[in-house]
Amino acid sequence: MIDVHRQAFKEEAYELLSELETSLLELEETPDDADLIGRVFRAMHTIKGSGSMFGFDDIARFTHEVETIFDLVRNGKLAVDKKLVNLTLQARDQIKSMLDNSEGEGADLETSAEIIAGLRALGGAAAPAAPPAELSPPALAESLPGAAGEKVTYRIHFAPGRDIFAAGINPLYLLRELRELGHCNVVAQTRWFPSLAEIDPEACYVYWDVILTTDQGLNAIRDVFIFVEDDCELSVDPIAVHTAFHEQEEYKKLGEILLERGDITLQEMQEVLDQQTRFGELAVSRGVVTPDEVRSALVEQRHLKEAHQEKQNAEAASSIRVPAERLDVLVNLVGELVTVQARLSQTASLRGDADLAAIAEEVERLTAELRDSALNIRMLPIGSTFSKFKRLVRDLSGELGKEIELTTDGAETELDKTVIEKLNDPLVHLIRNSIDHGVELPEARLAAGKPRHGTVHLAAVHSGDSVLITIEDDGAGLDQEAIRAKAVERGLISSSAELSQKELFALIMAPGFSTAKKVSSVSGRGVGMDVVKRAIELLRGSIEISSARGEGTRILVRIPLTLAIIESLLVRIGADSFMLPLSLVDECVELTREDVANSHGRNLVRVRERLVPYIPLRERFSIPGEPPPIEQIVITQVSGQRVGFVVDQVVGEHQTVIKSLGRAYRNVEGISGATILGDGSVALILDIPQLLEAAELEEL
Amino acid sequence: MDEMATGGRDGQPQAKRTLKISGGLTISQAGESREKLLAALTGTDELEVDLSALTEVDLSGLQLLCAAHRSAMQLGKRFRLLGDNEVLAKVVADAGFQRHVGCDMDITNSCIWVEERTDG
Repeated sequence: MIDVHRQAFKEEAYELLSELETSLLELEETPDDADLIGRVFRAMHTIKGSGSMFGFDDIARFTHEVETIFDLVRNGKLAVDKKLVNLTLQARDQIKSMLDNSEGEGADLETSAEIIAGLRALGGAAAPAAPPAELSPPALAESLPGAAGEKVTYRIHFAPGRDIFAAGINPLYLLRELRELGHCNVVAQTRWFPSLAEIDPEACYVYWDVILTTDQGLNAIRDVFIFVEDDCELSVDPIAVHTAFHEQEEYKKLGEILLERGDITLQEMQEVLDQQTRFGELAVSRGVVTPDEVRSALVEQRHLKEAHQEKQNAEAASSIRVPAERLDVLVNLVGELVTVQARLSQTASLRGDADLAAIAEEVERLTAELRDSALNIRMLPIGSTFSKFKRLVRDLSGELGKEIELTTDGAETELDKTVIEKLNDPLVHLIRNSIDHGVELPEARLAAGKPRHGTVHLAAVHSGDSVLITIEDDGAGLDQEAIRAKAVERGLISSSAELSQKELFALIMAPGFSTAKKVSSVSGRGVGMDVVKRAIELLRGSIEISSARGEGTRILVRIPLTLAIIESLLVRIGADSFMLPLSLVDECVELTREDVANSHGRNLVRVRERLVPYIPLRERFSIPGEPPPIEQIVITQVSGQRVGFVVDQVVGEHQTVIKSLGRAYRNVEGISGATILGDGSVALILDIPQLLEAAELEEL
Repeated sequence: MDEMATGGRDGQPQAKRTLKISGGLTISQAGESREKLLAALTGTDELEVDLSALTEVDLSGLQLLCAAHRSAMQLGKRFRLLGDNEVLAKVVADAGFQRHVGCDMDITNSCIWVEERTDG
């Protein structure tokens, strides 16, 4: 059990840390934003509190120091500057590495000490008189329920003694102190008031029901009443815990609250409940409770509702935590179901049984819905990746002495979780490239008549069943001549080759190609772009580069929404079935024997007055037998290039659940996976980019 | 110090009377205030307490006003507060006195702490 909680803490902490990073970077731009400062403080506070609760003492101790500093900032005693943000970012990384170090122990103590010293120096300058320990909020070491970081709602019943005024105590001050602890609702009970004739004007008759939600712990509440404790009736009961880890049950019903308070018995409540009307009114009219008791209970209900709401708002982004593997299992099962459903539909149509056909149709509809919602669960906004890049750009540009701002667009665009994960590395590479090779040094920019500040713009947008991601910089742009020279030197093209701009730029994605004159730590080792290209292709995406000298470079990455199920085109060669990803398919044309004869052995076909090269798949896969008199060419478009694939027959569109091939077949060239068709047979999914590459190599 | 002014002639009970309480309504004047409220209430069938010039009020003051209202109801008289006063409003809020419906003693539905209804 403990491990489960520790794991939950870690997950939460990672989430908080990434949020913290975003907040810090924003804070650097708007150092006065109290909201952001509060967010940073709360993140630190929560990590510290839950950290100590689950035995991550190192983390708790370390985070405490950072929190202390932000407490100063929050109270306006210390201003946010670059130094503070730098240190805090370092601290954030340190916390992360402590978390990574499995049990939070054995982290690099020297680094921790350095960061703490730096922070203390900043804090000390702001408040020289106060040692840091005194500035910290209480209850670090407490690990009782209600310790720091955990929000608990308490019901406080406070009835001061009659002579409290005479003792020189003003209960209003106590209430004020309670209000400072958190979200607080105070209800005064006046039922003990005598009439004017009987009242002792100097006695206290009022008592209070207070509902308080606070993360300060029970002791903090008791402390408020410390001087009156002996002379009053006081009870403090926790009624709800609002932790980050457990979903809060629904807020309590009015009847439950009255019951809990002992204002009403279960039997009485049951009797009232039997007459379904508004419980409060009924209970009063029955004389079971007084309107005052109901009012107080109503306040409590509203209070809990608000606390519940608040928590829900805070967790709007992630409402339940489910291990990723479980989702993968779900998607796999849905995949199986889609396959079986295809078989069912096929069988139903073969049988010609109307009843069966109706059922099959219904199953088909439901399966489609199930498939969509299952895939939807795995969709995540790409923004989480974007915020990581903000940090990357900040650190890298600082290292290189450049001034670069990262702007983003479409952070809410959703992509399959696994796609986002696999997209991270290629995007890092592309952004590094933009920073290192693209954007110039401030002086060079000014000399070129551009603003000092360079911009790298990262945007994501949905387009059909794929997502377009653009990385655009306003830097120097690609040097076409340098690329051409290098390509000739490398023997990639002949010196007389005529290449379009697009084709030329595509060359920089060839293995080992780099025009950078010197190798820097950032990029320029020439292992970048080909790796990027391959990674994108593995995601069945494509990449395209456009650039204008002196104006900047724009890289367009197109990625399919999901990896699990794709739309594809089913084709046949002889008895074998193959799939082509539909997103790559442009059109289908016929290829007659005559056309083949006319092209004189070159695999070219004329489509609307333009020549399109084609690859006869029957030959490539060595499939025996004679092709039919009229073959089909499926024309695909990859990286702006149109290439045809010759097949015997085009069957039609197909929902394809991708199965990876077994270990033995994993490295078969030209095949990216397989799927099971409605009749139970297997169709191979063609890896179009790889087939093209192989064909090009053969031609050389 | 407080100063209390009563409108209308002394002597026999009148239909309506206004008691203006200015200055403080706190524990230090509590006994005195109670006497004045009691006297004012005895001399009329309808008492209005004008609190517009109140400068200080505490819990004991709220208790007295509430008790006065209670007495008025028991005597079948009308009792209400007059005049907006920020000091009073703040203490009422701090003490958690404001409410949507009167308490169970509020038999005439005229509780002095009920907020002005806007929804009718």
